[in-house]
Amino acid sequence: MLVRAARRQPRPRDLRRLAPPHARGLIVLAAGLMIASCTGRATTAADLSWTISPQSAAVGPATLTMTLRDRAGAVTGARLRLEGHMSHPGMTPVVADAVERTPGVYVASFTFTMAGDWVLVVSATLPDGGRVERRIEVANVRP
Amino acid sequence: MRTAAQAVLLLVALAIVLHGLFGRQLAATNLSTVLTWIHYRGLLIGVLLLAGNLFCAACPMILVRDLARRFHTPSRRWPRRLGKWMALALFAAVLFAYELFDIWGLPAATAWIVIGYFAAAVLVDLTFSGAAFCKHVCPVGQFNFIASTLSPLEVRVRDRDVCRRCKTVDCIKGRRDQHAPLVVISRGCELALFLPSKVGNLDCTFCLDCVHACPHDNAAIGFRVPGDELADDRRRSAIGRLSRRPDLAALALVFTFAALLNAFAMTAPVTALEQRLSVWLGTGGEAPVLAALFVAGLAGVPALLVAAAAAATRSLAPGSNLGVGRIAVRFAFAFVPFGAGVWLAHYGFHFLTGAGTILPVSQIAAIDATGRALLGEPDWRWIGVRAGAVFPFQLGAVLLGALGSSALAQRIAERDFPSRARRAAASWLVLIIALTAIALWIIGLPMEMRGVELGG
Repeated sequence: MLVRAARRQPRPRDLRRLAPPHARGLIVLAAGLMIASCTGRATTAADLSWTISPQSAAVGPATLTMTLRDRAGAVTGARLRLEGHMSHPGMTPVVADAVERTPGVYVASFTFTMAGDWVLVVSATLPDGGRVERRIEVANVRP
Repeated sequence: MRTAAQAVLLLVALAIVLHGLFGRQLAATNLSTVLTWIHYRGLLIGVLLLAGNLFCAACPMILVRDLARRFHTPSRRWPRRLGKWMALALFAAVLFAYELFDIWGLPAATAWIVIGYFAAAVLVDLTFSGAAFCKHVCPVGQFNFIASTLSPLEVRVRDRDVCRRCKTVDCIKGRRDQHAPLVVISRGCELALFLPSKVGNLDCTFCLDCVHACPHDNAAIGFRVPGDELADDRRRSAIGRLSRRPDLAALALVFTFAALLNAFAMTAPVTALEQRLSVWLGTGGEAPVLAALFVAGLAGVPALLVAAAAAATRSLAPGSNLGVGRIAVRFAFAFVPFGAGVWLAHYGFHFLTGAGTILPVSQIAAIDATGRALLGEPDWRWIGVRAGAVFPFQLGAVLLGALGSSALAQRIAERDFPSRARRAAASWLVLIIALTAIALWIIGLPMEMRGVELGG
């Protein structure tokens, strides 16, 4: 069975006519995105340290304990959210909200769902609206 | 239509480059890595097997190249004696680099690869006439050419008698303005595929230049039996006979064995194997170990297996004057359906389990670009099919591919060893069954998403 392909009427040098608007559009879009990409979100001077258990990570439950401090001491009342991604794109992330156990110490319980390399992204929203983001690389989570 | 599709993919490429270079450098949250390694690859093999080489047709690099050629017309001809060997080496090199540098996890590197691709396409095609980059250089193009032999669609003539009466052969030469001969109205085939003697999809980019150039409206897209052309040894335009193209046979084998190697590299046993190789080679570096694995997996092992099967054919079906090498070249094309099945099982897994990531990652890209959640906060609730649910699809893809390969091996045997076809095909069927068992073992292994590093 043959299907006729749509025939285009011959249009001499039609690329020449199409190109300028395309090129203009692309340049404007590129410039816009590049300028926009330079804008960052507000961060703060608070410091976040962490420990993970079990120390030798394996597929299954895990706990991330985070301590949030600034110049004045422990930061209480912050909202901490954990997002765990595999190093390979396209996999299901794990998301967990942390609970403040003692002043300035937050604990997030989550599950490593797959063996391999993980990147945990912790986003903290401080009581004053400031934000802290930390990336924690957990290599070689065992099966 | 083609220009519109190219423009859309050019915008996608632009998004990949910009987010890859300027967005957050976390593969799972960057358009660069997600679109390239999850969506593009999954859709590519799916569209090739369900329709045709539409991604080559919509290739945005050709749009950019066409614009560049308005300012410079290439005059050199690509040295044909290179055949597909250089493209084959580049194809293997890209796969090697992907594994060595864990490129799936590197948004900026992915963006630079896209930029490099565009630069190479423009540079090659500003130097050499025709579609030199597509035909002789592009690694993705070679993958598409081989896989498109299994497509249900092809571009072909509607009535051969019309071609016999044709005096102008515009499908290959193109059409020029009668009053201004330097003005090209419609381009002929840039890959030198003369439509009346074109057989199948090899080297066809589905650009439809021939369809537009034919003044008799005698070129069209037609349905055909997928894979049939792999057992067709007629002399084909700009290619010749498949049985006399060891470079294409090697491409078919690398396509097949790379599918296994690429899938195997995502599983845990590859780490143990690399560590053993490391001890055996006396090196701690990943590059030499991976290079050894690639040389063995893409050249040494396939060559040995195919030579053994060909020797068995020669022994079981005597009487032919074909040597082991020529038998191997003829049967190598039978592996393509199996290879495509493994690629589909692997890339289909990533696509089906991760297709939905496009939503949260686009939302993240909007945040990265504007600082505001223009598309909403990233919503990771549905990112794809559950991994376990994809296994039946993977199983089906591999088994269907193996079935196709077995049928092709039988057909090639009937063509070249008509009196002893079953005996001639036997060793190839055994090899296909063995490779299928390996493929099923690989897709049954738990996937381990990691950059392989020696020493864990």
